[in-house]
Amino acid sequence: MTEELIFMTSNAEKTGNVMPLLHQIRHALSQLIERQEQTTIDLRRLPLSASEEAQLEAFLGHGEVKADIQALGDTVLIESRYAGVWLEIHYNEDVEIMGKYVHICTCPPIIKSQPEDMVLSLSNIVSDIHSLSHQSSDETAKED
Amino acid sequence: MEKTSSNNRLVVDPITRIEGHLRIEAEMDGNTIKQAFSSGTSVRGIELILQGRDPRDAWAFAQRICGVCTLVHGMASVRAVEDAIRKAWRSNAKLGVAIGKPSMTSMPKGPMQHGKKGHRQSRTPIGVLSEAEMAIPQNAQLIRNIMIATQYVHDHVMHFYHLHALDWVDVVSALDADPTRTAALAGQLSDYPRSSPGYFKDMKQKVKTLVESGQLGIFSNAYWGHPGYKLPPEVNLMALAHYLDALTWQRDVVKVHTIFGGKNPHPNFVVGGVPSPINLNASTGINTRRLVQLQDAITQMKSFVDQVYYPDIVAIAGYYKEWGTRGEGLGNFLTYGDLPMTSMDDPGSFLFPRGAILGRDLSKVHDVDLDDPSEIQEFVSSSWYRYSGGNTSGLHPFNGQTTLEYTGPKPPYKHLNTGAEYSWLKSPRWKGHAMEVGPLARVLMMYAKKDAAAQDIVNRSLSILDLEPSALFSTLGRTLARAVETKIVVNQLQSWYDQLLDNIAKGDTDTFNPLYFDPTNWPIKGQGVGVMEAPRGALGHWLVMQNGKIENYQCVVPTTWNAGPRDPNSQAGAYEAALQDKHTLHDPDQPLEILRTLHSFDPCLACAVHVMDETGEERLRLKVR
Amino acid sequence: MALPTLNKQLQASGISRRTFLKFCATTASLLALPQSAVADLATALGNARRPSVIWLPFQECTGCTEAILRSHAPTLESLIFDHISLDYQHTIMAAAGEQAEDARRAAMKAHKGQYLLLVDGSVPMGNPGYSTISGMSNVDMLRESAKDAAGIIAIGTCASFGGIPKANPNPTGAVAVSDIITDKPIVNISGCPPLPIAITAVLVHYLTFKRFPDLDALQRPLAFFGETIHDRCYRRPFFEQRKFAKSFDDEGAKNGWCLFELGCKGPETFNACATVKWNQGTSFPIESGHPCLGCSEPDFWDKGSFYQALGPWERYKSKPGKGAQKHAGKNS
Repeated sequence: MTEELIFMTSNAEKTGNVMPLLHQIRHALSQLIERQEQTTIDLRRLPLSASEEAQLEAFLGHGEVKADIQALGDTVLIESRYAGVWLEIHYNEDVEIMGKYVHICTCPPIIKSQPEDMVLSLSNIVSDIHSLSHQSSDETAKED
Repeated sequence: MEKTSSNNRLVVDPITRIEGHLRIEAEMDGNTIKQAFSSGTSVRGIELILQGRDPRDAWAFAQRICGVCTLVHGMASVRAVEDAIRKAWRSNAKLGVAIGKPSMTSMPKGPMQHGKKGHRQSRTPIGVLSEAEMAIPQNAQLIRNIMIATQYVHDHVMHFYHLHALDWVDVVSALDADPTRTAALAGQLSDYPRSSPGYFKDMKQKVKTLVESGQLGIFSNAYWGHPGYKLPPEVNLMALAHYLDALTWQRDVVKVHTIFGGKNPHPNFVVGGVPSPINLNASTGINTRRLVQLQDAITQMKSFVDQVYYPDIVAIAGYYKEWGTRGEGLGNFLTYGDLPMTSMDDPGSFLFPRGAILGRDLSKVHDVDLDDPSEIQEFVSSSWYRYSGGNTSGLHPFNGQTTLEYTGPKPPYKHLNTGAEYSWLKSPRWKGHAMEVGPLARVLMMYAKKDAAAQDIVNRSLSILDLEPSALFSTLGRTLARAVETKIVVNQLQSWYDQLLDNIAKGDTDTFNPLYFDPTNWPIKGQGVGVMEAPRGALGHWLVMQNGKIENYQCVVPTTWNAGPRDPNSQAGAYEAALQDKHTLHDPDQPLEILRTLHSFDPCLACAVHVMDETGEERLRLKVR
Repeated sequence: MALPTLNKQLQASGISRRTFLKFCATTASLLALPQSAVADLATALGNARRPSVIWLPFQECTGCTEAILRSHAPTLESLIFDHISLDYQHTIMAAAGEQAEDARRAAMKAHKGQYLLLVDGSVPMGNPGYSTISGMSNVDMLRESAKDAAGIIAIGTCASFGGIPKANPNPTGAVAVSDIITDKPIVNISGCPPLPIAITAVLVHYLTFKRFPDLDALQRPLAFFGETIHDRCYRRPFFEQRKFAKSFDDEGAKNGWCLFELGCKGPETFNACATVKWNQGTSFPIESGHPCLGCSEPDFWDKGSFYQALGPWERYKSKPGKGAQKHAGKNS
């Protein structure tokens, strides 16, 4: 690499962690298939330079699913071009990355509706239906 | 509080919602304060720790004097070192003597073996320097101004909402507020976009949850329901909402310090300029992304001050006009001046002028000389220190000596001996006068010097409140002046940023003058003073350096001016005098009135009690069992 | 009265379970807990009741409190702070004087053996009069408040190691909390100031597991103090290539080269500034162009000039096969 290139990016570091990581993902995927065993790899705990992170993301690519979750800042879920391998990125409200994970699973847990939220939703839907029916009966009354 | 236990003495300790450890004892006549005594009750001895250090390191030590006004001591320290070096260069230039000496063994070794400007010259005399060669680069000055101004805006807003507002705002009363009416009220005051009924409804719910939980946490045991609280529930709710908003807002604003100094609290500085290099295309230092972030922060500061802080102050002040006639105190005001448009050697270019006002007389602003040994002096007749020449005469900070000598009662104690020594603070005086420093002093100084922007904002604020200018000399006046100067500073911020951008566009990316940083360019002996207007008032660091090391280091800080004890002539300090001005307590068990006046000064005690000198000898050896 | 659980409070604040799970996931990675622990963490933390916290300020500058006020990810972290009952904190509490002391004693009594004690600032042993609150010496107040505490968190380098008051010649005989209290679990979260997220994370850990996280030999949480600034510094490749800034705005500085020769103490400083960064991830000292002062290490004030290089480059250059590998091992 030339000097000029190093000037342009201070993230020229090569930790050499990309290949071992890809092998870990491959192994985890086979575990998932054989034993339904899920794996999560926390990318924040692993030294990767910015260019290596980009390399990893480019390798994984985008598959069929992309989900956006708004939960005090965005969370982005991407199924990679390899089914069963997901990239998950948590942002906070300042669009700062709070966490970055590779999940090897059929469906990352955060995408599922949570029982606690569903209980609350049930009571909300009851009261919303209730007020809607009142509203429409009010309107009917007005028309009369 | 040992209320009226003996000889009608009221004690408030700790004074909370301030920085550091402050105790007030008051002699009462019924419920009225007759004599007030202000005591700083904690000492660390940072000046002593500074002795013998490399002057380039001093800022980091000095900065730890205080983590609230977190950059002011670092800034004053860097300026003091630069002033000492520059003074020596100048006097050498006058004599035609070249500076730079053959290597001295006692000099600290500089890390720069081949600095940009000083490389070859650093080993041989660098010649007589021109003023241009001595200059701190303009970009560094601008960045320093932007950092200082950010500190002002951040500190003043935080002070009001988080340290002062609860003296005026009743948390519990907010529960009676009507969110819709609150939104209407807020809408009249400003076009702050969050002022909707839903926003205030959520806020009310938050307060309700807290109160009903039974665990009030930081809001517990306060004086809620005290008849001194005059705000309607809607104003209380609005102010509380802004208390929480300010908490979020300030996190973003301090990023300005993080960008230039790497973190906040305690951002980094460097003697000779600023540590952050400018390179628009680099991924580090000041680059395009950083400049965008800075502009965002500046915009955010301005809108919060214009839409929230200033309108709140004026609105709340309207309910407390009687506080425009109490808590004046000294009527003497002092400023060192700050925020240079050119350099620190050119006080005429300062946004905040330097000067002194005596006895409320705004028609005469006296000149202040920081180096004149007869002007600024510190006395210790009421302090736990000993002067070798006796405790009745004062010492200029260049000759300052402050040997620790605790003569107070042995803890645990109920009362201090206020007839003798009673504080870790000294008593600074200007030409023998006790002086008040801080936002009110600065606003009065600008007003007296007929600064158009200041006069305009002051007059407008007074006319909204239907108050005479004399109302400025009061507890209310101090709190109003703080908001007024925040408006002045926040308006100036943008122009410094624009200037910085202009310079960069012209290709000027200098941020550092390495001549200051290279010890081989330093005088064998020199002394300098670094001043600044800290948010709480005039701050000065006086430094004597010899053979590349700190010989003596003295800080005279705003809260020492304001919170210091009586001097040998029994003149009270600013806090003491202010508390003696018409303070009748509704209920001495709930000394709300004392807190209002003290907080109007924005006390910062760690700053004030940093002093201590000379070795403590064996008796200070630590004993841990 | 049964105090509300965090779950209750979350619901009242309109925070969804999913959002909470996200918080738990990111907190788990901060605490170096395996992601498989997230579900357990969420359950335990959600059911945690509001703990009483007493915060004692001794020889301090309030920088540590200010640091916490700047905690990032406002909403969720402030929720944690809302969730603790801060029954005594000088800088922000509304009460003063006797009422403030009453609040402290009442909390100690009501939550005997349960409350957490947070301390910032060192304690002067030279003379009890060097630092008093309400007429009481710092050391007496510390002993009195520690007696019935469940555990102590020393916040900042002063409380952890003595800090600046202890710097040579230590005029007031300042000592650390752990020099005085020896019979309670103590966590040191050093730094001048400390990273606020480290404080939050330790609180979360305590709320969840009722004990402190794993600590290093200096009683600092390993998750934040397990590696040096240098280990994780983005300028490290320049260090390895011996590309150094020699001055503050020379070409090296402008291009972000390593600050080792300007005195950077990163290679000997254990802290997480390089990864967590400051003020919502904005920057950290090295990124802004200033060498690391080493502020989370004991006696960093007395280790020579901040601008003096640590020593020969060879001593700190990475050995082949070390470094990256070591970290990678932690994840599996």
